[in-house]
Amino acid sequence: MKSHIKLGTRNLTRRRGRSMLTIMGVALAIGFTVGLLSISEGFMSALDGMLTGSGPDLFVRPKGGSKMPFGMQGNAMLDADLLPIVRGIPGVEFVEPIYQAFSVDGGSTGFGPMMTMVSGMPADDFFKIRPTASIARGRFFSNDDGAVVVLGGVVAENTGKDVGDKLELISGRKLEVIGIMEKTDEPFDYFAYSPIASLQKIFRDSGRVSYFLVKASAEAGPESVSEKLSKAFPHLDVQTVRELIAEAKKMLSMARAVHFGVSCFALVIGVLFVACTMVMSVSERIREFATLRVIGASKGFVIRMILAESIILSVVGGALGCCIGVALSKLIDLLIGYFVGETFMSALVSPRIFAVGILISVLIGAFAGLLPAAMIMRRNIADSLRYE
Amino acid sequence: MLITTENLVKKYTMGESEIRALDGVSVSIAEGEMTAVVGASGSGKSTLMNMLGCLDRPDSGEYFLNGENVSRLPKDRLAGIRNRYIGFIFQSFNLLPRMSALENVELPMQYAGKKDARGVAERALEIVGLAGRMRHEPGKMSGGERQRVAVARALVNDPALILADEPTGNLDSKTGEEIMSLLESLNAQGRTIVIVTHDADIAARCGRSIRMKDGRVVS
Repeated sequence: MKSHIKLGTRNLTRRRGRSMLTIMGVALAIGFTVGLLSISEGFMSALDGMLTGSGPDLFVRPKGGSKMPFGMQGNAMLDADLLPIVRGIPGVEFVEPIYQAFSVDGGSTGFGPMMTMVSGMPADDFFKIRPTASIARGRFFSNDDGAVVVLGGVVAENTGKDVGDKLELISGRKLEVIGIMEKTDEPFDYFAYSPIASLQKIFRDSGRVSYFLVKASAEAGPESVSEKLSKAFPHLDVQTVRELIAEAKKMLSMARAVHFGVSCFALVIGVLFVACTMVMSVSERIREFATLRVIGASKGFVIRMILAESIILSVVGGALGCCIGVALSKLIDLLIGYFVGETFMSALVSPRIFAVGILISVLIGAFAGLLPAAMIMRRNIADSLRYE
Repeated sequence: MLITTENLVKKYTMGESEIRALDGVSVSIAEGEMTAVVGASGSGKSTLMNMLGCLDRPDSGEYFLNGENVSRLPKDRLAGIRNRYIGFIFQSFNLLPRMSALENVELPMQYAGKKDARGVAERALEIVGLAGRMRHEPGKMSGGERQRVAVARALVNDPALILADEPTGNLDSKTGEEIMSLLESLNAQGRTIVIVTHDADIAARCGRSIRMKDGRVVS
């Protein structure tokens, strides 16, 4: 082993308690950073996964609704007569009119009852638009069915409902569960589906829909169809899934900025921790460094030795911090599960995050080692040899 | 001459007053000499030792070591000169506490980029009578043993000059005698040795004494 690394490592064992406390400080800073990064990474990855998953390409909804995805657009409604006109736009392959209802029946979160979105829709094109969807138990509804519902795989788990049970809408009306879908890790796991006519009847809202889901043909592509729809219906809001996800990512980016700020703060504390330890450690060994210089060690050797010590201290903390970060992200996943129920967003600990954690710890060590290294280099060797 | 100094001056500022720790020191030491530098505290002998050991640079004057003017060399060049030409022995041993005796002795050779550092270090420790204590850390050795390790460390790069600053100052008289005998035997083998000391008995054992007073050589 290179002698500066060997010396650096041995010096760390000289004051074990102090080294351990410093390592813990760095570990917490890195753990916090890795934990937050894994959450952002997981959420971003989940949103990216939605782009590649099956399902509709565009949302067409009334202007003035919120930009929230998945039809949570408030109370604005569309005229169902627009359906054939939307279908007639070149490049449109399928159109699904959706009537949105909500249920808080079954399951609970830390914030209270769990909300389930029930999408009323025609049965015809469901599996064409979502080719990866399949039924695990029971059956899918037909357009002639009455007050029935098919639950997405995650909804079934969250609500604890199975075929034959009832799902009560917020209005008080109950829908009979006739089918449970297979879990596929796609957005449709998180919805329940009913015949549109049945929901329109329950809410005495015939002839109106909440929004249209549009699938563009492969040749035309979502962007071109979006343009045509926007031109044809200037009074409507047309958004591609990509735009919706970009919207969601924009919101997430703000959270990321906050994460970044908090992480920077934690990392600065990490640097100060290591720097403080290193300054103390170097101050106790002024004669030792002078001795090294006396017997021929170059300035570079002494600087490398101090940096090696500082980086080793920091990297050990960083490695421990990565483990703490994984534990933290699992804890956050558990908390999300408790407060929100199962979601398609979860923390993702990738090798890239580990690499970032270790790289940050190396940088912490390097920065923290510079001050004591400069401090020792400024000292006169002859004076340092007499230092008590 | 191995060592030649010409009008070395070193000044220190204390508050508003200036102290001339070396005030025009000119000395010459030939190869193979065993020389004592003596004088009272504050006479300038430690400052002279720092200059001779290339640990500090003079404010003015010249210092030739083995014919090379080293008085203005940059610090890293001086580190190389110390490593190749000078072996140091200190009153307080100055060994690295977390390294074994063997590793302490190996270290100067690592800076010099020497091969077979381990073998040379082992032989040096055998010469100073520590063949059985090589793996011990300094903290587990007596003062005499530690000083022997320091002597071995001073020898391993085969230096032209050995500088010893009060080498027996922290030792009992018996151990001090052993260390002096060791230095005398090294001198007998042709090593140039300069000992800074307060001890008149030690100075008397050296072939020559340089007496310092108020930063000047007085005899």
